[in-house]
Amino acid sequence: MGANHASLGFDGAGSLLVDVAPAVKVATAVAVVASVALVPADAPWVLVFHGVVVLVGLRTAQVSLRSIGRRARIVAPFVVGAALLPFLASGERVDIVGLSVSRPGLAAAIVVIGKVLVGFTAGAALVMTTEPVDIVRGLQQLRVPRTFTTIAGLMLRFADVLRGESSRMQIARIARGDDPRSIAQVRATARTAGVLFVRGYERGERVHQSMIARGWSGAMPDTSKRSVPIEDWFRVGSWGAVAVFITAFGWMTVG
Amino acid sequence: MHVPDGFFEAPVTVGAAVTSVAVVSYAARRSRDELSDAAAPMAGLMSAFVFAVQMLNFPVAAGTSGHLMGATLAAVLLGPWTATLCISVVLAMQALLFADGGLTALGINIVLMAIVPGFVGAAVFSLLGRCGRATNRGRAARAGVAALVSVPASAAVFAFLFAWGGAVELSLAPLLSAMVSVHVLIGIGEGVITATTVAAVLAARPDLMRAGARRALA
Repeated sequence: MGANHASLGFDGAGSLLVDVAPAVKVATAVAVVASVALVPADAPWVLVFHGVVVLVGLRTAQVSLRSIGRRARIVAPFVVGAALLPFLASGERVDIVGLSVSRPGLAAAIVVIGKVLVGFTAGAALVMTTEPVDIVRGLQQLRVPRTFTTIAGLMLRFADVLRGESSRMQIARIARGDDPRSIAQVRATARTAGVLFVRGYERGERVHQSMIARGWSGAMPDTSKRSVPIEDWFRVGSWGAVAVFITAFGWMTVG
Repeated sequence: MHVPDGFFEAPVTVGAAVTSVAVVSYAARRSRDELSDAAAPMAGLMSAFVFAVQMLNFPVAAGTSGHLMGATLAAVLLGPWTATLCISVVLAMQALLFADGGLTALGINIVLMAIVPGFVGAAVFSLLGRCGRATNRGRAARAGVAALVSVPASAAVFAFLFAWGGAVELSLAPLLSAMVSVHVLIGIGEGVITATTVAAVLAARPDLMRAGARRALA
């Protein structure tokens, strides 16, 4: 609550991307991530082009690559899982530094890790330079169905309610002599999940009542009336177009 | 558990995307009946709760970690259609806000973490409801068992999909047994959290539960 009100992943201070219209950033991130994911498996070198374009783009926009690296632990389980593929997969075996690994498994591991890392970097840049509320606004501008943006907006509002409730409950537990380092903490957390839910619901109900009192009519008001500046599409959206072109080029060389 | 981009071949990715768009848009229509005005904050809160709960990673055997899914909890309290809608929103927002789970893999993630566990959980919950006792403790225990079953069920679907159209050739049997055995452990955690949460809701606000349970049984 307070200073970091609903700013779940925002960490983009100083980046030029912060001031770009959210609709453009969301559309560009989706275009880049989808292009990277659709790179043909027979042409892994295409991923190198994508990686270079993403890195140059982020450099130009002054996004901190170090912050992206810190976030990358979300994808660590999948990178580790993919690194095991050469040992687990079937097919022709090759020897690399004395280890017998599967050739198709090794090729697939390189492609999967490359796609995961490049795709993640592009997505992380969006998250770091856009407030969550603005991402929902961007989705509205891109004509995503109302039901969806409404639940997403409510979710962000109530995430804040839950965070406040749970920190209050933790302070109360510590005040009553709970030791957060002990294993009993796990049990306390499991038991308080239910209480957190009920407490969160009851605060959520009050939030909802005050929303109705202020004229809530069952859907988030569309606050994204401001039009998207056309130069944002040129400055940022063009990077997405480049990514689409790279993947299309990759498919042409394969087929 | 969130599948990133590039983990599955295009046919599975596209198939799952088409399936999830169809199911989620039907769910949006169905949930209009399930969601009264009073239940709207419940849907928002459930999304936020599942969002928070999925960030809690706990260690499972052999150095891997798992997180809770919350699909059965949502299905028991809100009905399976609204639950599908809520969790799809959670997964889409995780992909957009945290780059957790790939954007192109969103369809697969919705199938694996919203549709399969939600409907399996709701089905087990209502099947057990026919033979169990209608006490609060009985309902909470049934919700816990339903959650426990739903997690390995969705792991099994992952194994079948990966053996059929994963980025790498893996034989089904070892993958299936590895996925299911790890996810039984995650399912135990899922079952405990679901049962305690349902018990807390029954103790404090039985009115919320009754509406949801009736829908899950319908």
